[in-house]
Amino acid sequence: MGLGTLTGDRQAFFSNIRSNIKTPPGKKAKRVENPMEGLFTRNETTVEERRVLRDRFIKEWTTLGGQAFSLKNRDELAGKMDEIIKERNIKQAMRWAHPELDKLQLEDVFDTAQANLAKWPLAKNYDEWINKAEAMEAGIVWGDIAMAETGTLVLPASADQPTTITVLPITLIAIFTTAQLVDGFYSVMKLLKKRYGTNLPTTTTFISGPSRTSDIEMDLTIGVHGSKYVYACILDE
Amino acid sequence: MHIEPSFTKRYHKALSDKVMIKAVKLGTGRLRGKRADAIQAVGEKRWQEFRNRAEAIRLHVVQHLDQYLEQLVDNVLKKGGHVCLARTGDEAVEYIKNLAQKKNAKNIVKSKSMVTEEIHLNPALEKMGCKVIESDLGEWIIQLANETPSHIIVPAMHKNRFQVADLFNEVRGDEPKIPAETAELCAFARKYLRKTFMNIDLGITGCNFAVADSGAITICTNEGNARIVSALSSTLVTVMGMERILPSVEELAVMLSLLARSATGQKITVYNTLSAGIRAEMELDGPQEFHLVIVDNGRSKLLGSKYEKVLNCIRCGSCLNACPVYRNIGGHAYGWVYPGPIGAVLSPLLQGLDKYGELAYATTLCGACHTACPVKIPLHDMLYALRNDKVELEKKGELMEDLTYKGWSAAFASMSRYRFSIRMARRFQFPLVKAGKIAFGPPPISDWLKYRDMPALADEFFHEIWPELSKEGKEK
Amino acid sequence: MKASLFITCIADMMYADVGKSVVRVLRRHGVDLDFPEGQTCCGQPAYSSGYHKEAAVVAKKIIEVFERSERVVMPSGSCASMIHHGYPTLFKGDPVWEKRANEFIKKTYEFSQFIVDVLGVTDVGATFNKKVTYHSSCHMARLLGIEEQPKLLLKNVKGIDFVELPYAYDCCGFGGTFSMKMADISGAIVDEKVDNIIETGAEVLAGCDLTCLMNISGRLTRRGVPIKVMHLAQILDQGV
Repeated sequence: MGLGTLTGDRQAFFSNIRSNIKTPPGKKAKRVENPMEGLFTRNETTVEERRVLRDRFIKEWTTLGGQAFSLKNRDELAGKMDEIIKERNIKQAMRWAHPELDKLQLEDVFDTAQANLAKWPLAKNYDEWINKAEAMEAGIVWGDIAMAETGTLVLPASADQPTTITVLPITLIAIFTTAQLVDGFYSVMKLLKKRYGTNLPTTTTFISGPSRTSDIEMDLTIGVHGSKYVYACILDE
Repeated sequence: MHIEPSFTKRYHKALSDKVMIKAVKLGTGRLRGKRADAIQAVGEKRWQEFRNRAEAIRLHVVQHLDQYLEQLVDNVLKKGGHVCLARTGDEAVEYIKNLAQKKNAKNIVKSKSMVTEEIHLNPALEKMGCKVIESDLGEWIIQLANETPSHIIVPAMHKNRFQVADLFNEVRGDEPKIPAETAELCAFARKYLRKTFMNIDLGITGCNFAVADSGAITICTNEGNARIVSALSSTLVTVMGMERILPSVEELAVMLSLLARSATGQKITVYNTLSAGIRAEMELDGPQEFHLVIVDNGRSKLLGSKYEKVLNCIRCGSCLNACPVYRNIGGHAYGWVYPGPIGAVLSPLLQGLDKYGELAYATTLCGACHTACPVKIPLHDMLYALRNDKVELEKKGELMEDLTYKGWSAAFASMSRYRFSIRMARRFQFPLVKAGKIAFGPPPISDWLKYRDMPALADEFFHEIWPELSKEGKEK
Repeated sequence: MKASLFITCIADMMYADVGKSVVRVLRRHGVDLDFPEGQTCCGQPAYSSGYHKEAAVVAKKIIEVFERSERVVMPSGSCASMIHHGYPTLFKGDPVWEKRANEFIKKTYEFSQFIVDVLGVTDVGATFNKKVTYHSSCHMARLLGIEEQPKLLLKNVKGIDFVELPYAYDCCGFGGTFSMKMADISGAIVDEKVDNIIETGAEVLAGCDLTCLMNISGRLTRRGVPIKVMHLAQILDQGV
């Protein structure tokens, strides 16, 4: 990856800023140490705590207008997926090429339901995959991190885990286990820092429920641009 | 859109637009109710901790802006992004115009950005022959109406669904008309705008927060439009006001929590996207070319000034909803991009006291803005300070007012002169007084009397009855 | 306890009765009240309009007048907050007056604050058989943080039927010269306040700030609404 270019007079731009910040150095406001400390709860260390978080997540996600299910095993998941396929009348869907999703053999469920599940990448070149992706009725992702306090999926993107899958289809299905659950922002940000340092993925998306707008007469409407139907399937770890 | 140069004319026009006022009252009422519920859920004490923390974070950043911006610039460049440091709005517009030309961009799709409104980006691009489409529903509505946003968070707050339906039906042309039902209007917007997303030549977004240590840009939307733009644009431009920056994702967690609650009463915005650099090897979506345009446009002169804290602003709009003046005149009357109390402070500071100084008087000084502000900008104090600047720096207090306060000062600095003046006033008020109150009178009290009665000066002033009262106390 | 009354210009000129009630209520609770000669106005009208120099001239006079007072009580939240929040701005960095202003600030109280926080009284022993609601004045609530004291005093009045005012914290639209400079906006705001007051079904609106009360009562009478407007002191002075 090459370096980007800079336009504008960097020297002048910053010396102007520096000359205006007249505050004497000693008097400047100090950086807040541990900015998140005390503002967020973090009960997530034991399996039991995470099961409590699962219930919290389900409550929040449902309040936001999504559907969320606690599932004991792969069979229950298969049953639930079948229900969702029928409920939304899904004929074709696409999914991340994530190893955890590979294990779940979702293709079998789709086959039985006489639907098609494609795995990313759909094609090598943009003009081909964009139209294919746009035609998909659902996108399936692995919920890499799930934040219970707000009912939020945290999805870091990569070549196998593109954002497009969560961006285009009207239905989004996230699958994860209770092991992916954390309490609040504190833990999410610490986790991101631990995993990536300051070298964040190209995109990290926080999704909390379906797309919504109140731009017309403050009337809440679901699904204006992004997903209208959002499902969270939470397996017991 | 033509903007009337006089604030008085603008707000009179607003007051006479009953449909707009009704819509604004509904919108602001809903938003501040939801914000209040959100604070109650968090707990007042923890909410204040959030505010204090946020204020400290923002203050530190603003006072070290050079340091964090340099870090951000380096990280964006390192990750393969291009950076434009624009000292003025024109420089920023010029850069984006050149880029649009280089890319031969016909279809430009934008997500909501206040700073691009500030620098008048859309008209400049349209003049070149580009088609610019706003993807946020509210922004798209006002774009169709050829208007500007009237609220920072809900740009089309001033419109009702019938007006929206008319605008949409115009776009539909010969197709059958859609009814003024919100769900159907939204469904149409989804379908129509989706087509434009499929071949974006150039995507333009705003920036809620840049994260210095990782060179990431955070954008928050409830609709999910910004992430469509950033995922599907091979060339992406992000325009940010230069103060919109945080040290790391830890500070970001605090600000995202505050922003959503202050703006709409949500715990978190539906979509928060952190984008860092360009599409990696093997990745098929996200921009191949990324340009970050950092705009000064008058902000640097606020650094180190008594108005420095105004740069804390995270554009949540909660001061608008809290403001009794905004609720009664809406956003357009303020005349520039930022309405409400933040606009009454920012407009004169960024665009000149001579042009927008009168906005400092468009407030009852009730302080609701300061109380509502999640980053504790002393907007209330700043409004007083701006009025003082107007009088002392500009020497542009009105002549009558200058004389009034000079006279007032001379009279009220001495008890005998004060008492003499009010006795004189009492002696000469009789033609106006009826049953102890005044209902009609000459200017300037005629302005007061337009809506209310005024009590007459008392037959006996308190200082005149004090000797008697004083004795009453001694008798006990 | 010794205290000095700063009546404020608006009460002096228009509401002598309020002053009378203030004096009586305080005396009943053992306050040895004096009324220092020389007092005029706190300086707020000029200060709010941006005329700081002119405001400072008057403010200095007031500081001098109350220099020897142990405590100062004012029946107006807005004027008290002018002293607490305006004076520090006016005299910031002034070698002589900054200190003198600070001394004055430390001993200055709004009426209900003085009764509850200084005298430690929450029931003044008044009786008032009416349905009453309370408008929370902006500067008093937001700048001085006096929110509960007046309501506590009202609720403890015998016979009173106290009802909360919806959006009690919303501004009444007065805003000093704003009410004349932008009369049409101000008129729209005070109408919202009046509508909320009517909604409570109260017979009396109480408040601690005479300028807000003057604004609201002026609109009530203009609209022909028969709701009486009273300063807190007047209610606390009833039926004793």
